[in-house]
Amino acid sequence: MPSKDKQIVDQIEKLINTQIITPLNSKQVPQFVIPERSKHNTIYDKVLRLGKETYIRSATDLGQVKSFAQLVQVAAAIHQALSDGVHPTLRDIFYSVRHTIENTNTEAFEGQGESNTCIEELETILNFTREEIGVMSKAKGLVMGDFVLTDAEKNKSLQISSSPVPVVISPLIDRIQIGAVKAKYVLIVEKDAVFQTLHDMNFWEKNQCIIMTGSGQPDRATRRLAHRFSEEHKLPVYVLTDSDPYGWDIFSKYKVGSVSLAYQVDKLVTPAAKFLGVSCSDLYTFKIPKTAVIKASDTDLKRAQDLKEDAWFKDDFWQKELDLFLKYKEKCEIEAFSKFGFRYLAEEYLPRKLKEVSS
Amino acid sequence: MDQDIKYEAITSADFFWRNRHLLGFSEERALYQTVREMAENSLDACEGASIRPKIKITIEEVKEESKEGLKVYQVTCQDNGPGLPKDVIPQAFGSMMFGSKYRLMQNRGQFGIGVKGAVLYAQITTGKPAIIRSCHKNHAYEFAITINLKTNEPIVHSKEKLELSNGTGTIIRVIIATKPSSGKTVSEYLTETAVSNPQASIKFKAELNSGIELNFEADTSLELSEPPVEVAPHPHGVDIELLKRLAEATKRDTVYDFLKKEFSEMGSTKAHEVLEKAGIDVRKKPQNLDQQELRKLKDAMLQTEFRRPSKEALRPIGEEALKKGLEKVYKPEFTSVSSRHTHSYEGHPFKVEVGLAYGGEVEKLERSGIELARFANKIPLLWDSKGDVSWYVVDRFNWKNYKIDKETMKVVVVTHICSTKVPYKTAGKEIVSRVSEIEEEIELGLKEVARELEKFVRNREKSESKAKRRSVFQTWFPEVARSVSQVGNVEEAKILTQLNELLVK
Repeated sequence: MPSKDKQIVDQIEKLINTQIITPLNSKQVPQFVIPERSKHNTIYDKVLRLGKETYIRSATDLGQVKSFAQLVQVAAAIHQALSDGVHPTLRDIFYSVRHTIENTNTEAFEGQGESNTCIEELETILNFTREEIGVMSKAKGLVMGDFVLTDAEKNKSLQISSSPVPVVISPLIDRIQIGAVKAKYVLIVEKDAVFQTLHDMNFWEKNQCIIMTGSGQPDRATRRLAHRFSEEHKLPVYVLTDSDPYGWDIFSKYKVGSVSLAYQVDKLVTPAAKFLGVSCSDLYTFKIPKTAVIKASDTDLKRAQDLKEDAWFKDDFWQKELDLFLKYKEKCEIEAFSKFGFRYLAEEYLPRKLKEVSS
Repeated sequence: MDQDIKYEAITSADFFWRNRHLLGFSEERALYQTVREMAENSLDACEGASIRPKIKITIEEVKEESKEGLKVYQVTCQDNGPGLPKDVIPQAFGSMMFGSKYRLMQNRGQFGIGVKGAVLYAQITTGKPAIIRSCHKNHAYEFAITINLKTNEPIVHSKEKLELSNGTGTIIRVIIATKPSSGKTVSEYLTETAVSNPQASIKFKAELNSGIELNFEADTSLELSEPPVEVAPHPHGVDIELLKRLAEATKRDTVYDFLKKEFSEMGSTKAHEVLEKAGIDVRKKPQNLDQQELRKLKDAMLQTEFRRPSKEALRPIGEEALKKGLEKVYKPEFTSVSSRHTHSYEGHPFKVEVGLAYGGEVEKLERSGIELARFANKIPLLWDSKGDVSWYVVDRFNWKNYKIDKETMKVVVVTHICSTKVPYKTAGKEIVSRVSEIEEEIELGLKEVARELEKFVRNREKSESKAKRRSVFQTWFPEVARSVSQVGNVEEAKILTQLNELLVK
């Protein structure tokens, strides 16, 4: 069994022992104390992390016994899968635990939402991400650059730069070692299309960097990878998004985190990440032609108003940018830079911005 | 009542016809009143002879006679009472005698005319004599009787000795013409009669609507109720008219004796006290008391304290019987009954009984809310419920205090007032006045039964939620045990036992 899997299996056994078997032997009520994963229990201190609030799932509470039992069942299912050397998906786990309880017409799980919740609870209790626990989800992110991924236990490795196509960021990223990194920085782009353009132009090779994308809202593995480049390899991380509140919000997901993942903030965010662009003022500094600019929608304006209230957008830079946006009511997609020619982004905009932020 | 003696001179039969609406025999309710007089006559007869009543009432339509908005019905009532000797039958059914003697007892009779009202109504509307067949001490006779309206004497149209049949009892059959009836009121009346008389067997069959059939079996576990007894009037319960009549009719020689013997709760000391206050010589002949002396006597009696009126004359339904009656008729899940202590108002003893039925077939009642069935001296009061003391108390009762939602819950409430003098509000004798003493007793009785219902509902909810609780844990504990044993090195059964033990605590 891979050591990571073994570690998780041990943790689950320990959890069941300390929270259920031991208390029962001394006639104590088995229960789990779980950190509250809600917006009101989220604290912003450079990153979004959970507060101290917890809730209890007790075996002898009428209203909690179901949740308690479900959590135990999911823990057992993951324990079983890892012991069998399998890494299940969220859906696999749902199917493995769902059944009609014997002698009743009660469904043990009424939908995948219930088993998903148990997995989140298990993540918070054990303080492992679900990827670490071995629970798979669909890969969404892409990465390219000069480094090597190694699975020592399987004795396999890949020189990423030798791949003719970008490599997907697997949810099992935590079981893989990152080495031989030859890059000066990491460039995260919001959109898959922009990533492809940069890849086509060999931007990463020419600029000796790593490029990656979360294809919109980044999944956990993409955030985790950015975090690891920053923490393990001390690489500067820059984020390139569209010039609109949606893009800027995605930047904050990498840098600050999000309410729903605040319980894993220490593993998923990259506090050192820097915003490269496109800012609202860039539209005027770089004299982006009006034909490339789109009128902001009411939703965009509303979103900008909301961002202005978020604690992590409270600094001068962002307040100024958001005010500018609200004033001119204009936004721009990076693809529109092709109005200047296809090389404008890679050969003019990015070098200038990189120079600005790194100075 | 006070005018009765005068009316007797112009014949009671005449009086009846002129006042038939006051006596319950208006065309709208004649059928109901006929059934009612017959049924009550039979119940009284059985009770007087300590026989468990078995009463069977049938209504058939005489189609060929019905015309012009009127229907002709043949109403028959059969009982298993003691029957009547042949010499008494003509008088018993064929003479409207209003009793001149003041009788203080808890009577069923509503207007004092009884079954004779039915005989007379039949005679007037269809001209048909009443047929009475009675078997008394192994002699059975059949009479056809009407009443001579001028002389108030029975007219015997035929008389026939019958072959001996088994048992005793009386059958009376009349043929009356009234407005068409659905039989709803009659059914309601007999149903409620079954509630207040659970020891009796009551059967009803009617060719009305699509046919009605009721069958209330006797509850033989219940003892028969004793016949009512007469008691002397309580000094606080007399008015001048009554006093005058009693003084004229008495055989006592002195007013002292008169007081002592003709009133209840009146001993020598009290009689002396009253006469002293009234300033009347103890040796005065009661027949010679003048109007002024009578007034003084009455006032003196009111100013003197007496023990409460005796409850001997009262015949309550009884807690057990009322409970059984409710159970028999409404088949509820829960009943509660309160029998209050005997009290008195203006010298008249009374007793209030309150019953309540909930759940079971009560849920099948059409309307939600409180279904009130009122009784006075064991008789259902069906008409003009609003304005009645029971209605008033039930309506303003704070059911919410007892977690009873009168909008959504279905509850049957029964109130029974028995008294030697039920304080009816109107001549129709369907509404009991709001006498504060009675009002208070009804309210206290209601509180008792409502509290019991609240307790019942709460316990039921508690045991339901307890059972539900158990079943929730019984659902999930095995899942916990299985999963734990899968992960940890421990027996599934052991975990399950340990979990269940936690619940017992």
